[in-house]
Amino acid sequence: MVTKRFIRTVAKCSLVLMLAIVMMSTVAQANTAPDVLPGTVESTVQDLVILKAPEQLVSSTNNRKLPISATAPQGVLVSVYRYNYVTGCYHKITLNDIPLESIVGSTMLFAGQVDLNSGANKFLIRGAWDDAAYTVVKFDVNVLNEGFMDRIKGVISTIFN
Amino acid sequence: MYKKSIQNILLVGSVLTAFILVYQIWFSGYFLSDGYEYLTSGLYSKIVQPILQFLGHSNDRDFSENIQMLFKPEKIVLNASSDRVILTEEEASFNETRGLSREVIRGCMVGDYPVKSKEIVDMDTYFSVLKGRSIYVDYGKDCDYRLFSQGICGKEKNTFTDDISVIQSYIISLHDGLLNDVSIYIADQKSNHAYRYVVEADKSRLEKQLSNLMRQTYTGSSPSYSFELNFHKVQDQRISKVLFDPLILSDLTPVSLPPVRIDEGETLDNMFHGRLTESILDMFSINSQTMRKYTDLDNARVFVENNATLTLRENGLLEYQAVQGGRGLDITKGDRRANYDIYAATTHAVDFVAELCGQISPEFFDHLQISTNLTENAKNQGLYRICFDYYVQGIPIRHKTADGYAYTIEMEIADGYLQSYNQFTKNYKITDGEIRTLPPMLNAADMLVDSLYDGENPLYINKIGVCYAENEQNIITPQWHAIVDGIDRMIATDEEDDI
Repeated sequence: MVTKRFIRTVAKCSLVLMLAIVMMSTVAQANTAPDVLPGTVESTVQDLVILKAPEQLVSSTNNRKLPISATAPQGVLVSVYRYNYVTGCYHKITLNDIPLESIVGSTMLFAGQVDLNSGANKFLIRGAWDDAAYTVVKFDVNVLNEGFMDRIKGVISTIFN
Repeated sequence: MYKKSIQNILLVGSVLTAFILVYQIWFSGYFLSDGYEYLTSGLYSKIVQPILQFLGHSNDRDFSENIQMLFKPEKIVLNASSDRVILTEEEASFNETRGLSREVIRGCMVGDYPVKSKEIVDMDTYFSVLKGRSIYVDYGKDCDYRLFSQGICGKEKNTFTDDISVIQSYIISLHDGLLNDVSIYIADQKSNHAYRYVVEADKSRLEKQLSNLMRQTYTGSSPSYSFELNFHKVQDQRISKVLFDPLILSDLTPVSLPPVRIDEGETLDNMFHGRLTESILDMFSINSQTMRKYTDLDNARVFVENNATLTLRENGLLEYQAVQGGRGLDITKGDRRANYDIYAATTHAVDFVAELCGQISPEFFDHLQISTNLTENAKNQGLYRICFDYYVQGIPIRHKTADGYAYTIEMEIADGYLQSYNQFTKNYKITDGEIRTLPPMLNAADMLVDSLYDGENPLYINKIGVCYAENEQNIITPQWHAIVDGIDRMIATDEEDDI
């Protein structure tokens, strides 16, 4: 009698535990973005995330660091990806093993910063409610060689002096 | 012979006693509650001061030193080749960097670095300079230019006087324009004009010093300015719940701070029961022979005079309040009162605080910084509120009171008379213990939106930073605080309420 009750209690606990694990994994799934996105990825929803900085989808800079910001409704998961020319895919950016992503709060603002490589850099910012409803924005940043800029300045300086 | 000597000794003793008694009666205010200060201050201003000035012993030097101590940059930002370093007072290189930037701006002010050309630039140009090789010196509050100048070069007028009325920050750009000039950029906060001054300076030496400083201090993280993130702009496609001042630096990582505790000393005990009580009464010209004194229900010592009340509370709070409609304590020391302005008010406030802290605890003075704008009161000229924060390793301490959070010193001056003065007199220090971590700045902004956003008008964050908040039970915790739409706000991160 006691053994039966014990087995029933254990079964109930296991069921509750399983349900909890299933629910947790669903929540966890809703709050994670894929590590890799195909180069051809397109939005399923419009304007879930809007790029704030850089202002242009194609821009140039001579800085090695790029501030990125975006707006999105509260609760949207925003992640930043860098295009890999070898794989032809966008890979989620990590800094010290921490992905450059966060769930947007009441300010509806997202901010981050990435290091730029020499030459062309292709990025993608993804705002998602879940795996099915997301917006992607692709943008390119070209890094101008600082030495090249200095040489131009040097020539002008020589002419003026 | 022996008898004569005794007579002489008695005579000399009597004369000396007479002198001491006359001094007591005249200068310690035996008869009048205000003392005879009006006589001696007139004597000081009309006779002693001109003679001292003639002999080159002006007391301006003291003020210049004090304002240098009390008005330090809140942060200095070094920028070179995409790397950025923010230096605050607790950093080892802060003083070296401050010295370098001070040398340059002072050189321009006094003519050591002549100005080659001057032009007005738009704010976008001003901001873009901060992305290049530059040193950005930010005081964090507006300051009347005459005061700023006095603090830097000991003179009220200099090269920039005609253009700048109110200053908050300046930029030294080392790689500026097509010709790679050294330029100084200053934005006048009154006219909202930004000026670029191209100066003749030893560029290679400055560049070398900047590179050395960068090498010593660069940690790898480079916070972004709000203008780089476009957080200062409204976006057409989506409502903006919050806007940031363009020059706010956003560090996107959590902030870790060491614990702070009250540095128990003898100051409080001395203030209440020792030699300091008399000194404090003297500072506030409260006549110990004519005042009334009592201990109230909260165990505070209260000293009541005809013109004011001074209260010394057990928690170290010193409160002075002039009677309603009364003039309060004269802190001008005989200076002219005509056209009383922020310059005069600040000099008097700084001298008074320096003298009082010198009496109570000289170490305390070393931790003070002016926290409020030092600008003209457009609504009510002659009436000024000047506040000071106590800083522990570059972070201010705020004190919770029944009316919200208070600065360490708050003083109100009307035409040279001290109307009210509140000072928390405790010292604080960093201690061993658990490091507290605050969420990143954007999370703090989320909390502000949750508590303040009205659904229509975006909040404008003028300033945001961390501080230590001391509650009424003397528990000190790190917290975010911000100035939102011009109002100081403490941001609750745990169960505490914000204001």
